[in-house]
Amino acid sequence: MTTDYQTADGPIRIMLVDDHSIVRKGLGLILDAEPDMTVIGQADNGADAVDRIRSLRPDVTLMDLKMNGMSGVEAVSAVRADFPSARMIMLSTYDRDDDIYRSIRAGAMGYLVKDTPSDEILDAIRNVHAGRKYFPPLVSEKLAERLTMPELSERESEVLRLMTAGQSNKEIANSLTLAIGTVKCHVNSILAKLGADDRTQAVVTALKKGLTDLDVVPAFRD
Amino acid sequence: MVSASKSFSPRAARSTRDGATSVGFRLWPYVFAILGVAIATGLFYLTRPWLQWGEIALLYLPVVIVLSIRFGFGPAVLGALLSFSCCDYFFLQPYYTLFLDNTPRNWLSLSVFLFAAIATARLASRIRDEARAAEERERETTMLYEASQAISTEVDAERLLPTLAAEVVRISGASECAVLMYVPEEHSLFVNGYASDSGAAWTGSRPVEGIARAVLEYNRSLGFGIGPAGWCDEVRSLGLSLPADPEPSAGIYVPLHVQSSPMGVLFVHYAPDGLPFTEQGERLILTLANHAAVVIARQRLREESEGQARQNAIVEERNRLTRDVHDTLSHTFTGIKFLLEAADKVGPTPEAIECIAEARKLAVEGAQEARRSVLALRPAQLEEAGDLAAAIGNLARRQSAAGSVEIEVEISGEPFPLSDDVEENLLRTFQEALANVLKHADATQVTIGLAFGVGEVTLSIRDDGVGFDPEAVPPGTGFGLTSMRQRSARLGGDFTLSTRIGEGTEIQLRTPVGARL
Repeated sequence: MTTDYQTADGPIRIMLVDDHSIVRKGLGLILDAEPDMTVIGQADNGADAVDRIRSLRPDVTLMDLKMNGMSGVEAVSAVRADFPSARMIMLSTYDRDDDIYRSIRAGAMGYLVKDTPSDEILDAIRNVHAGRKYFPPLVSEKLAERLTMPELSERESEVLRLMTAGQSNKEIANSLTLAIGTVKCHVNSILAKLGADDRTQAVVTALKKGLTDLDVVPAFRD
Repeated sequence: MVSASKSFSPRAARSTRDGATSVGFRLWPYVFAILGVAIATGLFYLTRPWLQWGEIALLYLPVVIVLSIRFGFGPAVLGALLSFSCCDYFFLQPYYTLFLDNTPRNWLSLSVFLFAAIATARLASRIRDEARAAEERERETTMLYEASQAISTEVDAERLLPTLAAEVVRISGASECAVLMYVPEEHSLFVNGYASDSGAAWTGSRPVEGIARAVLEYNRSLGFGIGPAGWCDEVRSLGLSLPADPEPSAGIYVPLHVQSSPMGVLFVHYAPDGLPFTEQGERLILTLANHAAVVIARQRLREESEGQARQNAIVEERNRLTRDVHDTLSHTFTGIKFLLEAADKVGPTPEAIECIAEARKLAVEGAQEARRSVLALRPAQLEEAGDLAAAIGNLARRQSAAGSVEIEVEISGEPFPLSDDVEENLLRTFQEALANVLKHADATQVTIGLAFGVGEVTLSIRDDGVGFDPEAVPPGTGFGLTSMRQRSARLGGDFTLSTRIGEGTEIQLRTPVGARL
C-alpha cells in the first residue's frame, strides 16, 4: 500500500467494530443521531474490520478490544502497518493497565471503557478526528502505573498464566518441563514484582492488571 | 522412693520396686552362696570315706559354676573362697584345721583349686550377663516391633499420634506421654497425641509447654527426676518450673526434627509411685520419638497438599465467577446502557421503543444469568470440609452435639473423589433427609451411610423413629421427598424409601459416578 490514509470533508465517517450486536446497534443509533457523524460500516471481528477499513477508509474507527479470532489490538496493529495515520479508538469492557498499554503500543489514539457516557464517547471521536489523542484521566493514570511496574520476563508470564489456571508448582514444572525449584524461583519473583503475598493474591492482581487472561485456560470454560 | 532412684541402673531401679532396702548391693545371693556351699560340704563330708580330697575339690567346681550362673560373679567368688576353706578344713589332712601344717604341695593344690574356681566363676557369670543382655535386647526388639506394628496398622491418620503415645506409655511404664505439635507460623505448641495409663484426658499445663519450648530452642533432650548425670535437674538449672499436680517423679522431653525443621516435642512423665525409666526405656522412647517426627512430617505434607488443592479449587471457582461476570453480566449491562442511551438520543421514535424493549429483555436475561452463576457456587459446607464425607461428618457432629439425636456416620468402601455435582446433590439430599428426621421422626438414633462401590456411591439415612405411611403423604407436601427424587433422577441414580409406621425410615440414594479428573 503506498497511498496514505486521508480524511475527507463533511461528517465524520465512522466504522464500528464489536462482536456484540447490541453494542453496535446502540452505538450506531447514538452516532447517527449526531449531525456531524455517520456510521459507514460495521464489523464483528478483527479480520473483517481490517478488510473493511482498508476498503472504506473511515475517518475514525471504534474498535472493540476483545473479540473472538483477531483481537482489537491485533487489528489496530494490522491497520496501522498499512496506514500509519489511521485513527482508531479502543473500546473495552475493562480498564486494565496492560490492555491500555498494549492498545497504545499498537497505535490506538484513544481508549474508552464501554460504560463511558455516550457524550464523552462523542467527544473522544471528535478529538481523535481532529488529530488529538484522547484518554480519560483514569486511563492515563493506569497507564502511568503500568509504566512504573517491573516487566515480567517471558518465562514468568508463562508461569503466571499457569498459576492463573490453578496449577500447583509441580504441575507447572511438568507443563513447562522445568525443575520444581526453578518454578518456585519464578513464582517468588512474580510475587515480588506484583507485590503479592501469596499465589491467589498474585493471580488476582495479575488479572486486574491484565497481565494474564482467563481465556488462555480452556479447562475452566464451562 | 524418688530419692532412692537417683542411680540410673536398670537392676537398681527394679530392686527399688521390689522393696529391697539397699540399692546396688543385694544380700540374698550371698546368703544363698553360703548356704549352697554349706549343703555341698555336708554332702561331700558323707563321701569322705571313699573319696580323696582332690576329687572332692573337683566336686566343688560345679557348685561354684551354678552359683555364678544363678547369682553372678560376686556370690560365686564368695562360694569359691568358702569352698577353698571347707576343702582345707574338712578334707585336707590334718582334718579340722585351717591353713595349719599344710605342706607346700597342699598349698599348690589349694591355690590351683582357687584359681580354677574363680576363673570358672568369671567365665560363667560373663556368659550369664551376655545371655541376659541378649534377652533384654530381644524384649526391646519385640516391644519396638509391637509398637511399630500398632502404629503402622493405624489407618486413621488422626489417631496415629495418640496410638504412638499409648505405645510409649505401654512400653516404658510411663504414667503419661504426649506429642506437642509445633506450628511454625504461630510459633505455638499444641498437644496432639496424649495417652495416660489411667486413660485420663490432657488438661493442659504451663510448665510442660515451657520445658517443651526450651527443648525446641536448644534442640536437645531435657529431663528431670532420674537420668544420666547430665539430665538431673537440667530443667531446674534452666530456670524452668517442673510440671505439677500431680508432680511426676521423672520426665523426659525429646525434640522431634525432620531435616532440621522442628516438628514438635514428645514428652514422657512417670508417676510418683511409678516405675522410673531405664536406659532401655529411654532408648525405646528415643526410637519412638523418631517415629513421631516422621508421622508429623507426613501429616504436615498431607495438609500442605490438601491446602494447595483447596487453594486451587478456590482459584478455579474464582475464575469461573470472573468468566461468568465478564462473559454475561458485563456484556448485558453494557448492552442495556447503549440501548437506553440510544433511545434517549433518537427521541420518541419507534426505534427508541424497540431499544427499550430490547434493553428490558437483556435485563431479564442478565438477572437469570446472575442467579445461575451464584447457584453454581459449591456449597459452603463442601468448600469448608474439602469433600462430601468430611462435610457430612461435620454436619452430623454439629447436630449430635446440639442434642436430641445420636448421629453415626459410617463410611464404607474405598473413598474416591466425587464430581462437584454428585457431592452437592448428595449433600443436599442428606441435609433434607436429616431435617425430616429431626422434624418428624422423633428418633434417637440416626445412621448415615456413605458407601463407595465400584463406579457408584450410595448415601443412606436410617432412623429409629416413628416412620410413616408413604401412601398417606399427599403429593407436594412430601417432606422434600419430591426434591430428593428429582436430585436422584438428575444424577441418574436410584432413590428408595422404606418406612412403615412405628418402624423407622430409611432413605437410600444410589448414584453412578465417574472418578473426578
